[in-house]
Amino acid sequence: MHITTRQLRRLAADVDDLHRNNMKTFKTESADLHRDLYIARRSVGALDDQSIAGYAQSVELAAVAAYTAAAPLLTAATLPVAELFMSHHQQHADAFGAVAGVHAVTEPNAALIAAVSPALAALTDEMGALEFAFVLEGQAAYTYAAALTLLQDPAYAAATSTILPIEAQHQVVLGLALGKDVTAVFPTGAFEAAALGDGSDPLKGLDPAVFAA
Amino acid sequence: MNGKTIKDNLNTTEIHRELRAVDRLNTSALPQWRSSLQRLFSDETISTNERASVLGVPSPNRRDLFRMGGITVLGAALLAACGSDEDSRNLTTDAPTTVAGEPNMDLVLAKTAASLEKLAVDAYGIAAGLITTPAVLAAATMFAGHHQMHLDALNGVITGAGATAITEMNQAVYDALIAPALATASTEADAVNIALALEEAAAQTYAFAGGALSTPGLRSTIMTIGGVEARHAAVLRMAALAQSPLEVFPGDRGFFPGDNPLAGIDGALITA
Repeated sequence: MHITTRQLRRLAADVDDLHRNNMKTFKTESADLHRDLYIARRSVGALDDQSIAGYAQSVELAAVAAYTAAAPLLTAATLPVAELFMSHHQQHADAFGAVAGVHAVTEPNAALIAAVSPALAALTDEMGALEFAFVLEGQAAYTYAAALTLLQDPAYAAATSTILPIEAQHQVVLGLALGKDVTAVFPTGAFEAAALGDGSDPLKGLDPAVFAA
Repeated sequence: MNGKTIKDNLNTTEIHRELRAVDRLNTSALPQWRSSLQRLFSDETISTNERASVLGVPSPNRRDLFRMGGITVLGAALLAACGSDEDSRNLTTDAPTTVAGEPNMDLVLAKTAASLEKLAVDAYGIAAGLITTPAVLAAATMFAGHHQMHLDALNGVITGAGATAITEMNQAVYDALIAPALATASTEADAVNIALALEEAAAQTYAFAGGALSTPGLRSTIMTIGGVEARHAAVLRMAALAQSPLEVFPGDRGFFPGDNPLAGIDGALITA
């Protein structure tokens, strides 16, 4: 069995045709890819500093609402701590609102409230309420670590950097009050997480794309 | 090959079949490739280094970029075209930059932070000799481990910028704050209070740096550490010093101090 040079040339031409056909698809696919990426980048870029501040304000107001809803379950020993944390969140909301410009809000984040309402409604005791708050405080801290990756104005970043540690400390206080061991109050280990999620993962922040204010 | 034949056991039908099979593979692979790339570059949680790893190319931020072979050029070009300018999630790739009007302040802050982490590692080692409660000792050991990880991460940033890694503690801060306290320390509470002062100073330094570094990536990176230092302080207050939850927030403060706690200590900023 053998093939001639002519046959080989024909086979090579067939290969070339196949390659050219695939390259036509490749070009279209690449163009689609770059177009989609461009759109995706633009949507991320739409989160300017003021809109991030407005989103943070809405999350802080949601935290205030959550503590308010859980307060009836708390004992006299715990209530002052919850009230302090609630006042912190109100202060944070005010601080973010002051720099959010047209993106400032007056109501808690509706999407976040809707997402946590079933869990809040299911709370029956203080331990459940503290565990709920423990997760929420961690997610707030991670949200700010993620926000810092986007904030362009150092003044916004500076303000956020004074709030993130307070949320982290809230989580520690709640964790220790729940009787968790020391390792458990560092849920993401030696570094705060800077990833965002849909709220179902306690180790990720609250994605503004999911909880649009 | 002019005029010559290939004497081989090649059957043209088989070759055609093989070519069609290759074409099917190619045709089916391209959409998958596109889909994979779409996910790879749309997912903001995937770092540039991770993208580089998936594409089989060196990170564009690493110094071995120039050692890449030809086969990796396509992936590297894709990274360059589609990647963000900065990668906030990778501690070892954000090279410090220069703030206008100040000589490489990013590097100064990174080195200073690293020297504080080394000081914390060493201070916990010294303080351990005074700690008798097993749970407190376990926490101190864990915190020292965190500080070592922070030091390693910061040194990754520093060496990534071409500077030398920090291996010595911040002598100025040690002399000003730690040495006088250690000289009179005799109990576990004394040791914990030294650790607390150091943790709060570190957390405050990071809160300051969170507004002073020049890029969002660096600012986020530093605060992923700063938040943990604040956690350390809260644990020390409640679990080791038996303070109430309210005492974790002196003056009921809702904002962590963001001014530079090292401003009054000569030599505390590592500029060399």
